[in-house]
Amino acid sequence: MESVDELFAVRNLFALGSYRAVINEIASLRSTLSDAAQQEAMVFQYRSLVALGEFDKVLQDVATGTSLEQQAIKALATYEKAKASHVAATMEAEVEKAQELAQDEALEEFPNAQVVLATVLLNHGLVDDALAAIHKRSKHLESSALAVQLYLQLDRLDLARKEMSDLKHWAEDAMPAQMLDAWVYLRLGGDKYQQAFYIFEEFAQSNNANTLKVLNSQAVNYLALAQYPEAESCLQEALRLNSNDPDTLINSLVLATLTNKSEEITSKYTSQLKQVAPEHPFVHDLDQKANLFDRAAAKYTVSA
Amino acid sequence: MRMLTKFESKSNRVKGVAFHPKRPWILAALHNGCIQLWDYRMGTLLERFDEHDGPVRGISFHPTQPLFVSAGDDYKIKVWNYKSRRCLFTLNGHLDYVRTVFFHHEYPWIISASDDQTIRIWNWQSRNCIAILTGHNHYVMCAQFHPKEDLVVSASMDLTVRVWDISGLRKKNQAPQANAYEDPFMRQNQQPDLFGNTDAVVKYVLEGHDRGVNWVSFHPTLPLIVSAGDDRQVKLWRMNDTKAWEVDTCRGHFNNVLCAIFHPRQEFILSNGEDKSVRVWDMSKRTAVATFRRDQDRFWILTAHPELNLFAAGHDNGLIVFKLERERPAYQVYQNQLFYVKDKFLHALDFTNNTDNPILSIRKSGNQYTQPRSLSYNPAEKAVLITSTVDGGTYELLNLPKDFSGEASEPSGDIRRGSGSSAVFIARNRFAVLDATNQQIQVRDLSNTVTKSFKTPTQVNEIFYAGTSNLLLATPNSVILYDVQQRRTIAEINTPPVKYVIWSNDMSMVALLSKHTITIANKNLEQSCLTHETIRVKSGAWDDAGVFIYCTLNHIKYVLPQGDNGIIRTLEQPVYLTRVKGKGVHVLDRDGKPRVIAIDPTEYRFKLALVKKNFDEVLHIIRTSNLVGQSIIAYLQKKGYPEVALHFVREEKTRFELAIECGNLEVAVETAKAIDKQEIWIKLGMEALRQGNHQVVEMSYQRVQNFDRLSFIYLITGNKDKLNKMMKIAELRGDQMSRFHNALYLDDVAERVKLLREVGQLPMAYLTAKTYGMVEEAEEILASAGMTEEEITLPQMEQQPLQPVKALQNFGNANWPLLPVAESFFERAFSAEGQNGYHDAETNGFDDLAAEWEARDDFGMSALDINGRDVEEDIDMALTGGNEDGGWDLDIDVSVPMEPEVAEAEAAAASTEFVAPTPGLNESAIWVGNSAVAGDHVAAGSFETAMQILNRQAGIVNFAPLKPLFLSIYQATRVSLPANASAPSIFYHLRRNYNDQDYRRALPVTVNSFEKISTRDLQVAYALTKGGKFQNATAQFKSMLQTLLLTVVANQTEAEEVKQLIHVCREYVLGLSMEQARRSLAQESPEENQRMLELAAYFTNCDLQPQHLQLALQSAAQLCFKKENISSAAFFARRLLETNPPPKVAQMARQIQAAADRNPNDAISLDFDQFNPFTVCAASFTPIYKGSPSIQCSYCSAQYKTDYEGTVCKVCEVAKVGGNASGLRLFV
Repeated sequence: MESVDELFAVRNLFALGSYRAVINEIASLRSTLSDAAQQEAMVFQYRSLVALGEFDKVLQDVATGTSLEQQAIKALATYEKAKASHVAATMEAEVEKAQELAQDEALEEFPNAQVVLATVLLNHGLVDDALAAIHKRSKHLESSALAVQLYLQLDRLDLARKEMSDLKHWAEDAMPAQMLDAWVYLRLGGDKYQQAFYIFEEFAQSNNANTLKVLNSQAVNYLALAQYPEAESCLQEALRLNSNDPDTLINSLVLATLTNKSEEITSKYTSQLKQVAPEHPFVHDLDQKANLFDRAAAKYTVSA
Repeated sequence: MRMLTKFESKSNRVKGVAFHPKRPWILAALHNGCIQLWDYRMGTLLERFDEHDGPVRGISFHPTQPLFVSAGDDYKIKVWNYKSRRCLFTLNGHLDYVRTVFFHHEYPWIISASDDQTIRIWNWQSRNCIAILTGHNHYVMCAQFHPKEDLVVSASMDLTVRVWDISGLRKKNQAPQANAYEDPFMRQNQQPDLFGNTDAVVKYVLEGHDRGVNWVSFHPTLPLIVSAGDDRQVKLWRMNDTKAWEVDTCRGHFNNVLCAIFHPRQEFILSNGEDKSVRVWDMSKRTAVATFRRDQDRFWILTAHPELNLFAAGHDNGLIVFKLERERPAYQVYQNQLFYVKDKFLHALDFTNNTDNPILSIRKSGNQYTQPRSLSYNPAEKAVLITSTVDGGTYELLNLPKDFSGEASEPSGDIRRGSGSSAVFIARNRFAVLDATNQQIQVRDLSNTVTKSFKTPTQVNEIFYAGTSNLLLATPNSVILYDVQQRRTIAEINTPPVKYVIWSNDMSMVALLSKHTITIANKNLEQSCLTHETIRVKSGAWDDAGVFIYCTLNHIKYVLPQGDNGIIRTLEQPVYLTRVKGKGVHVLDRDGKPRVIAIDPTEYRFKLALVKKNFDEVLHIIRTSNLVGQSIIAYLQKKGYPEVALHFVREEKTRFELAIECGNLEVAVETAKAIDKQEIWIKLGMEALRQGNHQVVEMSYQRVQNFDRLSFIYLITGNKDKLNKMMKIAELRGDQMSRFHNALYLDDVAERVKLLREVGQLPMAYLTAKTYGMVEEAEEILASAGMTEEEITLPQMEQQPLQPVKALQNFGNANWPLLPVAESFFERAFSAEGQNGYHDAETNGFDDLAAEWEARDDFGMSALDINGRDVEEDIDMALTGGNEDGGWDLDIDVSVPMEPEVAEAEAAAASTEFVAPTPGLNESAIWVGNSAVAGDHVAAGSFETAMQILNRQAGIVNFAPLKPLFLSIYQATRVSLPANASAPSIFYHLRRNYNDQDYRRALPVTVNSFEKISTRDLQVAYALTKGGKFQNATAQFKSMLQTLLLTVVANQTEAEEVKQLIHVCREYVLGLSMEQARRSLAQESPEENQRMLELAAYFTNCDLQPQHLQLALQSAAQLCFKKENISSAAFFARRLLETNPPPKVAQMARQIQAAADRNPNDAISLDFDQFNPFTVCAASFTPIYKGSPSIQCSYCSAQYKTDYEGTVCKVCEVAKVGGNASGLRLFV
C-alpha cells in the first residue's frame, strides 16, 4: 500500500457492518477528504443508511441526482424500501431499472455503482445478472467481496477461491479481504474453520466490532465447529443488540435445535422469524419443504 | 552479556566486600578504617563500624549467626555482632597487616592471611588461635577454606599458591563446640601441638605465576582453583587426590589482577584488577566473554552472593552490586498456556492440567551467553518470535511442533532471524519489528519478508502487541496506540518509560508497567488509574474479575481499575506473575520454575464488588469470609459505605459513629444506651432532630438532662402533660427560671404569679396578675406588700399581652414525618437477615424465575451436552489421528483445479464477454451423495429420497407423524451469515465431520444424536412411567421410536444399541397402552372385569425395567387377589418376589401366596396361560401363543395377529404391519 487509503477506516467499518460508525466516521473525515474520496464516501454513507433501513433519508438526498452512482443508490433504496413494505410492483420496476443501468458502458468507471446495482439484482435472485454487472471490475474490494458471495451462492468454491487469491496480490490483508477469506474458509471446512475463527476473532478484538455481522459470523463459525456454548454467547449478545435480526434468529433457532432445547423455544424463534421477515429465503424454504413433505408423503398409501 | 548494576555506593576505597547470605545486605571494608553495612535493595546505609585503626581489608559474614569478622592493617581481627552493633572481641596475634579473613562454613573457625607470612586459624568460640600455617616466604595475600573438604588454599607474594590439608586439625577439634567449655588443663595440653604444625600440612605448592599472587579461590563443586596475580594473569588449576596442576591461563588484563572467582552456577570465571575492568571468562574455553570497564576506578575485590545471582566488586570510589544476566525469563501467556524459556528450551505449561513440557530447543538461537529477552506467541500459526539483546537486538521466528506433549524438538525449517530490538506478532500472519537505532518499524510476514516499513512517529524504545494491526509504542514519556495499517496514532497516554505491557484477558484493559509506576488504562488508552510504588515493579497479571495483580520485589499487590490498591502478601524472592486464577497466582521464579502461590483474594474482590456496586457479591463475601480489621472499616467509611462498615464493627463507639453517619437511628440508640455518655447522647439528639425523630430527640435530651431543650421540644410537639411534668421537675430542682419558662410555655399565669411571689418579685407578680386580669391575686399581693393600688403606677401597655406558642396538634407518641433516610441495599439485606434468614430479601424475582426456567428447560441436559461433545470429539480425534498416521492428509490448499469449469471461467474472465458460470454442486447434494442414511437425506432437505429410504429399509408408510421431525432436522442444518451490505445472507451447512479437510466428504450435522435419545429422552420417559403419567410416557416412547428412525450413529456397535433401544421403546409403548386400556374400563360387567385382569396380566409380559416390572406385577397380583383370582395372584406374587421387591411389597406378596395355599382357585377364567410363552398383539391386546400365526411391524417389530396385515403399526405409528424392510441403516 504505497499511498494511504483515505477511506481505510470507513472501508473497515463498513465491512464489519458497523454502519452507524461509518456515517459518523465520514462526518468527521469529510473536510479532509479529496474529491474522489468524497464521492466514494458518499456511496458508503448511503449504503450504510440503506443497511440501517433509513431509506427515506437516502431517497431525499439522491432524488435529483443524475450521476450513475446516485441513480444506482436510488434504485437500491427504492427497491429495499419496496421490499420492506412488500410492494412487488415497485420492486419489479426497480430491478428493471437496475438492469437497464447495468447495461451502461460508462459503468465500468464506477465500481461502487456496479456493486450497488449488483446488490439489487442479487436481492431479486438474479445471481447471473448480478455477476454480469460486476464482471468488468477493477481492483475494488467491495466488488470482489460481492463476487465471492455470488460464487459461494452458486456453490462455485473454485471461482471464489480464485477471486480470493487474485485479491491477495493487491489487497494484502485489508480487513474486507480477510473477511472474504473467512467466508470461503467456512465453506471449505476442516482446518480452515480454525483459520476463519482466527480472522473473526481478530475482528472481534478491534474496536467497533460489536456488530450483528461479526457476532453472527462468529456464531456461525462456532456452530460449524460444534462449539455450542460459545455460539450461544455470541448469539445472546447479538440478540441484545437487535432482537429482530433474521440472521440472528435463524442461527439461534439452529442452535436451539442442535442443543435440544424445548420446542417452546424453537417455535418462539420460528414464529418471531416469520413475523419480522416473512419473505426471508429461510422461511420460504421451510414452507416449501413442508409442502414438499406433504406431497412426498402422500405417495405412500396406508390402508386404515 | 551485560553488567546490570543493581546498586552502587560512593565511598572511600573499598578493599573488602561480603554479602549477607539471606538479607539484602552487603558489608564494605574501607581503606579509611571504616566498615559500612548497606541494604543494596533499598540503597541505604544501615550501619557504620569504625574501630579499626587504618585500612580494613578482610571482611566476612557468618553463614548463620549474626556475626561478621573484619581484619586490617592494625594487625587485628575483630568479630562483630551486627544485631548488638558492637565488636564482641578482638583476636590478636598477627604481626603484620591482615589481608583476608573468612569464616568456616561449619566449624567455629576463622581463617586469616597476613603479611607476617603466616595463615592462622582461629576458634571464635574459644577466641584463640588453633593453628598457624607457616611455609610461605612472603606476604600471604589470601587464604580460604574449601567449601566442603578439609582444605585451605592460599596465595602469596612468593609467587606460589598453596593447598593445605587441615584434616588433622579437624580431627583434633571433633567437638569444636566443647572448646568453649573445655577445662583449662586440657587447653594447656593442646597448646604445644598447635605450633608443631602437624595439624595443617602443605599438600600442593602450585607454581606458575611470574609475580606475586593476589587472590585464590576454590570452585564450589569441582576440584578447581582459580588464582590471580600481579603478572596480569588469571590461572586455572585442577587437582586430584595426589597432585595439582595448571590447566590454563586467561590473559587479557593489562595491569595487576587483584581478585578472581568462579561463577557459582555457570561455567564462568570473573576477575578484576587495577586495569579498571571486570572481566568474564569462559571456564572451559578460557576465552574472554565480556569486559566491563570503568574510567576511574581500579577494582580491588570481587565476591559472589552465596545464594543469589549477584556479584559485588569494590573499587576506588565505592562498590557496585551487579548481575550478569536478567533472571526474568522470556514468557508469554496465551489463554491457558504459558510459554517460557528456560535453560535454552522453550517450555509450554498448560495451566489446566499443570503439564510442563520443553517443546523446542533454542540452543542454536542467539548467543550462547545471552538469555532471550522476550517472546511473542502466535496461536494461529503455532510460531514464536524470540528476541534477545545480542548484537544490539535480534529476533528469531521459530515454528513450534504441532503437538506440545512430545519430546522437545529442534526447530524445524529455517530459522528466520533479523535484527531489531523488539518483535511482536500483530496479526495471524504479520509481525512488527522495531529497529530502535534507525527508529523504523517493519511489518514482516511469516517468511520474514518486509511487507511494510515506516518511520516511528517519535522516539520509540519498545513495541508491544495491542490487538490486531495495532501496536503500543513505548516512548520515553508516553505510550502510543498506533494503527499500523493506517499509520495513524489512535491514542496517547503520558507515562514514565514503560517496560512491560499486560492486557486483560478480554483485551479491554491494559496495565502499563514502568519501573515505579503502574498505569491502568482501557483499550483506548484512557487512563483509569496510576499507582506509584517505591519498590520496583516486576510483573503482573489480570484477575478474571478485572483486578490487576502485580508484584514488586517483595510484595504481591493488587490494584483495582478505580485506583484502590493494597498488599496481598509478601514475597521472599522476586517472582514473575504469569496468571491469576481464583486463589492461586501462577508465577515463574528466578530459576525459571513455574510455581503457584496461594493468595487470599477476598479483600480485593470485596473492594471490587463495592466499587462495581455488585452488592450481592459484597453481601456474599461479608457472610462467607472472615474479613475483619480496622483498615477495612476505615476503607468502607472513607468510600462512603458506612452501612457496610457497620456490619463489621463490634466496638460500640465506632458502631455508634457509623450508625450516625449512615443515619441508622436504631443502631445508634442501641449503641448510645450501651455507651451512655453525654457527648454520645448529644450527637444522637442532633441526628435524630435532623431526621425529625423527636422521640429519640426527647430521649437523648432526657439522658443529658437538657431541660430547656426538652421543654422546648415538648412545646413544639404540643405535649402539655410532659411540659407540666417538666414544670414540676423544675420546681423540685429549685430551678426557678426553668419553672418560669415552662409556665410560660404552658400559658399558666397563676403559676407564674405564684413563682414570682415565691422568689420575692412582688412587683412583677402584681404586674403579671394585673395584666392577665387576676384581680384577687393582685390584691392579695398588694395586701401582703402592705401597699395600695394608688401607690403604684403601672406602665402603659399598648398591646395585648403575649400569647404563648401553641402546637396545633399534639403529636403525642407519633413522630414527625421522618426525613427519608436512604435505606441501602445492605441495610435491607442485613435487616432481612435478622428477621428471616438470608434468602428472601435479595433473591429477587429474576433469580427465581431464572432458576425455574433452567430447571424446566435443562433437565440434566448440561451433563448430556458434555457427554455428547466428548463423544464427538473422540470421533474427530480418531479421524484426525487417522489422517496423520495414514498419510490421508489431503490438504486442499494445494488443490489443483477442482472442477473443469475453472478453465472455462478463466477463459471467460480473459475475454471481456461475460459468460455466467454454471452453478456448482450444492452441499445438500454432496450430503445426499455421501450418505445412504435416511437422517442425512432429511438434513439435506431431500425428503423424497429420505422417504424412499425409510420405506425400503423400514417399511415406513405413514409419514405424517414424522413431519415435525423432518422439519426440525432440516432447519438445524444451515446457518445464515450476513455477508455484503444489503445483500441476502449466505447459508452455510453445518457438518458433523467438521474436521475433515475435504468438503467434498462432508456429512450433515447430527441433530438428534443417539446419546441424547438414549440418555435424556429415555430418562424422561422412565420418569414419566414411574410417575404414573402413562399417556405422556407413551407419547414420549413413541416419539423416541420415531426419532430413532432418523438418527445417525458412528458405527455398528452404536447401531446395535439403537436396535436395543427400539426394542425397549416398543415394549413400553405396548405395555403402557394396555395399562391405559385397562384403566379406561368401567369394571362393571363381568366381561370388563375379565378384560381388566387379562390386560394387567399381559402388561407383566412386557420386557420392562425391573422397577417398572415390579409395579406391573404388583398391580396384577393385587387386582387378581381383589377379584379373587387367587391362583393367578399367587403366580404374579411369586414373580414379584423374584424381582427382589422392597420389604413391604414382599410381605404383601407373601400374604397372597399364603392365601393361595389355602385356596388355589381363580374366580374368573382368563385368556392367560402362564405356562405357555406368548407375545401380545399390539392392536387387539390379545395373546399370540407360541406357534400361532403372527405378523410383525416392519420397523419396531411389534407383533400382530395376521388380521392386521397391511395396517399402520399401532406402536410406532409409522410403519406397515407385515411390510417388507431391508433393515434400517444408521451409519455411513
